[in-house]
Amino acid sequence: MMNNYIVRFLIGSLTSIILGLLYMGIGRKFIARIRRCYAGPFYQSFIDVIKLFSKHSISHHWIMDFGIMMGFSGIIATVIFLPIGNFYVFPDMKGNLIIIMYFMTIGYLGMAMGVSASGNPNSPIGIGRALALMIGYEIPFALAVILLIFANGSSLLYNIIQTQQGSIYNWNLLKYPFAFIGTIIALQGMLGEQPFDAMIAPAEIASGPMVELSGKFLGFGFLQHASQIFLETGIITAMFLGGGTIIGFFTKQLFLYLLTLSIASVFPRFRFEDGVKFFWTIPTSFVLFQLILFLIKR
Amino acid sequence: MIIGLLFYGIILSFLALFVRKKYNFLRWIIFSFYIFLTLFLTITIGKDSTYFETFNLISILNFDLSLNFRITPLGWLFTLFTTLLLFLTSIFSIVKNKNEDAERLINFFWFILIISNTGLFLADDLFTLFIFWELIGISSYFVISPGWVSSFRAVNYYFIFSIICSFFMFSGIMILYEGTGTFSIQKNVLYFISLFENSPLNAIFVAISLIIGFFVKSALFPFHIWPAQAHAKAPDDFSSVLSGIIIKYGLYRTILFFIPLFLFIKEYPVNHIMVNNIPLFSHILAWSGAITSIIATFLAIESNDMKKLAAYSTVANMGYITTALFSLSSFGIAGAIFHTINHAIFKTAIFLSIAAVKYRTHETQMHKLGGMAYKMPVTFLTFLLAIISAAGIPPLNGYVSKWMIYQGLLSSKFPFLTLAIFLSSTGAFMYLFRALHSIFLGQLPEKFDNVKEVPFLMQIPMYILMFLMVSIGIFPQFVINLINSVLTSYNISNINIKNSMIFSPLSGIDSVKVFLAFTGSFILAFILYLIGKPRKHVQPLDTYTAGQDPADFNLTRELYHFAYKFYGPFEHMFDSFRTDTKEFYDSIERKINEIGGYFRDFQSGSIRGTIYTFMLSFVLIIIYWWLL
Amino acid sequence: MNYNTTVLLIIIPILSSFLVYMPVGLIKKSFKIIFLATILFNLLFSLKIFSVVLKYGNLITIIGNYHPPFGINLVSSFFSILFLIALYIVFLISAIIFIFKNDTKNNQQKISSVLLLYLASFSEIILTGDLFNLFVFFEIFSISNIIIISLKNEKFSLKGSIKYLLISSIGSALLLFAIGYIYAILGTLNLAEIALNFEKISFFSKCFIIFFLMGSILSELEVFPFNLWISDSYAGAKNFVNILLSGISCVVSLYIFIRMFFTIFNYPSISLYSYNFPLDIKLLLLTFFSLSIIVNQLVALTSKNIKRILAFSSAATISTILFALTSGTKSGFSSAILLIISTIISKPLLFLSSHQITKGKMEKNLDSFKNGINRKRYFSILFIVSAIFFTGFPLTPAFFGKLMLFYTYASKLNYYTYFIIVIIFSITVEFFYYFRMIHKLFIKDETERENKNIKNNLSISYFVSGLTMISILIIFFIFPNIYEKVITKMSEEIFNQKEYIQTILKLGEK
Repeated sequence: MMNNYIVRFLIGSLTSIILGLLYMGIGRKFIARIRRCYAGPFYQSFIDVIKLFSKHSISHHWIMDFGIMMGFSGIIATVIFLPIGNFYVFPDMKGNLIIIMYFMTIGYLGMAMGVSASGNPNSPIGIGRALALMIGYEIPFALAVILLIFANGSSLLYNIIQTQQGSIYNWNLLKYPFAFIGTIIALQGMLGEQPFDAMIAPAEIASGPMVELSGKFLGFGFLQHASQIFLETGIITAMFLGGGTIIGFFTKQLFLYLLTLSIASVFPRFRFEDGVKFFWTIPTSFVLFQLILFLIKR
Repeated sequence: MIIGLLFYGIILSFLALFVRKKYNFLRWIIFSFYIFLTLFLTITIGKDSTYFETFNLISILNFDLSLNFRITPLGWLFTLFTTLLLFLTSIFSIVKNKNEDAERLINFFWFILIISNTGLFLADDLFTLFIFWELIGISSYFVISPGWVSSFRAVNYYFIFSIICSFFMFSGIMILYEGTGTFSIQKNVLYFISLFENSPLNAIFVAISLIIGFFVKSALFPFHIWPAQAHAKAPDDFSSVLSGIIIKYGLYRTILFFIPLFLFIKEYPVNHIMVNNIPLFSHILAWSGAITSIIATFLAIESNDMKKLAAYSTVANMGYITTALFSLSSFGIAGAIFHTINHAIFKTAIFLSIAAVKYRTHETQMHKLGGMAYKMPVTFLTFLLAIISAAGIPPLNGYVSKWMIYQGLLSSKFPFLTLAIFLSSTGAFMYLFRALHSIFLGQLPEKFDNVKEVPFLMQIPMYILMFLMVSIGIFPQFVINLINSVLTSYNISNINIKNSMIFSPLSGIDSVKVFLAFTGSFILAFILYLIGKPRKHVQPLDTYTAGQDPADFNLTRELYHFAYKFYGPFEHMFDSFRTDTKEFYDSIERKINEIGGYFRDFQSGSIRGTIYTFMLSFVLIIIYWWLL
Repeated sequence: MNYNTTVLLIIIPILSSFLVYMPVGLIKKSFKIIFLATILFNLLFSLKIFSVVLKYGNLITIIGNYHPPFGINLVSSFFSILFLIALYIVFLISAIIFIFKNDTKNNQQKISSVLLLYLASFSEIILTGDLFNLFVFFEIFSISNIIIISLKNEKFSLKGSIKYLLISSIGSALLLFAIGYIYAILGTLNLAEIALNFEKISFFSKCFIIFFLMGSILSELEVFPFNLWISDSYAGAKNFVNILLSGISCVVSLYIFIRMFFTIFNYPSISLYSYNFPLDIKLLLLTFFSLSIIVNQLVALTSKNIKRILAFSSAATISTILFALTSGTKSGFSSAILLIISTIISKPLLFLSSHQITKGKMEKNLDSFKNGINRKRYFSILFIVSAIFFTGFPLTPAFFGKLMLFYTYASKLNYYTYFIIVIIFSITVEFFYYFRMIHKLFIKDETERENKNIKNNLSISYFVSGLTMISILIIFFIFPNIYEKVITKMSEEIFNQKEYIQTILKLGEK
């Protein structure tokens, strides 16, 4: 029983890391294609991570080490609750949406704690921006979640996926198109891609949170970002694109990620308070419109 | 037994008054001992007992004024956790108050307060309830401001609101008494329900006067500003009591009065306006909670004083609790009660760690602090766990109750209330992280280089609180079973819980597994950490100046601490929406003073004016009579 | 029952008010003995009368064998005699303070004479059975008030006493008008007979009488806007005068109000109805007293001078008592009596202790309270306890008074109920400024150190009188049943106008 869980846990977590890194590599190539320049091979991210873990690193305090590890483990723990295709780590909690939304924050918290323990003022600036953006994109996303929970009478991603099976017309993408648009924009913010990359902003605050990370800490940052890509695209896939089998699930995730990147590569950066304002107006009103339509119809 | 407990408490409080200043720790040990005694008795009585006690105080002018006490599941639960937290705080206070100014006074009135605390929760009639309510209001006045000029203004906000609330409530009670002829809570609640059927207009008058009482005490909109004043200026260890416990009294009475009423209306909705299957009145109250939570969240994001921040966070939490409570689903009510308990625990932890920081640094402005974690690791860990819990992040206790609140709201289909709570919950994460960063992380200013961890006696409550937060997060069933017995006593369907697995209409969670998932991930992370090449420890400033001595560049660590106006641009977004409620109350105060000053000058006017006024007003009265 | 010795309560003080001038030369100091002996006699004799009243019911004193409704007569009922006893106790305390004070040595003899007149006049006012005597002694009462207010020889006290003089003389004029009018219509001045026939007179006459009688006592009752004298009088008067003013003067006028409204006008069932002028006297009085409560509390809130705060707080309480009486129900009446009890005891104590706390300070304002708990511990505790009693802490008489007040107005849900908000406002403000004063006591004063050499001797007279009053308070706190029976009996008496008329007039028929 326990071994069973451990194996499932390892499968879930490693899949997320590996596929996340893979998506990152493919994404780099994709952006290079858009910009008509060259990129490394699709396995470049793996090489980067291995390289980083084998280099020397500096740390200022044990809290920094602890925070970075906590950040990584928070995202991994969230992935555990994500349905990967039809694979579940815990069969009695098949993708509890509220838990996922709240578990994600521990990743942010850990990362934020680690980098602000590093003492570099650029990192708290970045974190402050990230958190302010978070309050922005949580609103349309939360509205979409509420909508789907109402529609399905359950807050399990499993049930949401089940109702979308059968045909492409059952996908929530087609049932609730406006909600999907809003959520996609929110996803842009969640992943921290342009136009919502004020928190990283290499030119202004020297990559913000990551400024003081080196060696394996940067490696953790990489891994965390990879899992985060996997996680967040996974949630949207399950919510709107009908989940699907393992391969279908991964394809949809990749599609979503590439969509995000293609938006990102043509936009400049929002100031973060403008970003928040944007999130609270355009995507929110899309989702709100959908929600009101739903409530009226019911 | 309860009477005896209260009586001996009063005797002990006077005894403690005569302890000499030199041995003042004895005073606080007596205090802790008494709370421990209360705790012990509460546990031995047990929640299931049908213990009843009455003490004939007097019967005067046909009023039968006796003190009645009864153990109800709700009262017992509240007594248990408040006493436990008071006990932890009192251990903290033993050392903290050693050199405190006016600690004798603080001790005496705090003693009265804890006696009243027990009396309030176990009271069986409205009169007993009112007496203890009044005692709490008056005694906390002197605990917050024992002759301190600095906290005088703050305490007045608290006190005036407190008095207004108690006397509005008193008028409501007297109207109910007029109908029933008894102060018994059960009978009055029944009468209140029937009043809603028979003469709704009068019932609404009663309801509003009661609601004003509860809302003021629980700091709900539009009375949400007093905690930021009073909690911030109170003695540091007392702030935790104010924020963790005293603010819950209004809530307790809300549960006592309004939940039976609204549940009854929900069951028999004849002649009542219903919205979403709950009464309109209840819906309005739920919205008032949601508005409170949003406003308080933004105010907390803006505040730079750490105690103020924590106080606004309390107000926001009271908002969630109220919203959940008035959603009237069994998950909502259970979640509200559970969150009340959790909030008391983590807010006590937050305030105690703030008090520990202030004990060593004497500083409350967050941007002047920083890097305390490197010097006070236990305090830091307490604060960290407390904010994780407060933000509702698994696997600590806050998330179970927040999850239950969401289940309650979502299963009874309140989209916008849920959204409001989502918003304020994310905002909570913002301000809590800001506090964590500004106080404990970042750069340690040079002047705090010699700061040490607090004495061991002050650490004990922190350890216990950490243990509580973690263990309730993993095994919520112990608390939920207690809450289930409360729900049973109100005829609400119980929470379905099997071991650590909670089943809601929408989903289910197993908190042990949630905890294991997190632990597993952390082990994985730790293995990866060990795999990577070992790290090197470097002083923070060393990396900035490319190996040169930072002192050459006049660089101090304080310069590198980014904490002031942490969310500056974000705050600017709301510049055009900002309405200052405090300014509103202040303007009322100014107006009253202006009018009063006018009359005062008028009173001490000239002699001739006196005569004219006399004659004129006599004539005016006669004219008034003609017009009437 | 016929009991003519009651008249001694008035005769003896008047007599000794002249006797105090007799001792001259070496035995000059013995006037103190006469003074105190008179007060003690009055107190003890009133207790004796009280025991007789308990045994036989109302006592009628007939002077010159003119039976009522003719001639002068005194009525000592349960209500009046108890009032008298309470007032005598307050008077005794203030007299002790006055006698043992050092700064009034030069003219103590003269003042004691005035005080004895004061004693005689309020005894007569309370005991009298006819309006004319009431008028005469009301005049004496006012005059002695004026004299004792102006004792301090300061700007404030002179201004205050002149204001009082003018206002009270207008009041007396109004009273005289009313009395003349009554005599013209009914041909009698006996209270019982007026009460018997009051129902029969015309609507206009009723209104005329009510307004003029009320107008005469409003200034004494400290009701805004007729209370413009208190601001200066209280602030400028000596401490024992403050005790007299707050503990006796206003209570005496409250007594007159109760007698007039309940005994003469038969207030709750008074029919003031004419086909075109329906006078809702209840609403009139309620608005009027509400306004007075609010204004007085506001002035108390914004004042800085301690005596002024206490004075206006006392004025607001009197208005609250009137507010309670206006309801015209038994519970309202009980509420009023409870509040009167609370005022009679705690208010003098507040004045006494605050005077001692601020002693030695240049200005008697709020800041002079600073660090009181360390300077004057005993009096600070007295102040705190009496303030708590006065504001209505649970289980104190004032609390029960407020409880009854809320109950009175809650018992019939109509638009009068909303006047409760005035009371809530008043209680809030009152709590605020009393607690502000208590809070000041605990503030540590930095400038204090320099003046450490001030002698901190405890005046024994203040100590004893404070102790007496505080023990009365505590006895009332522990055994509330003492006043419960009293109140029941009082309300029975007051709401039974018929019996009052019968006992007096039957005696006259013999």
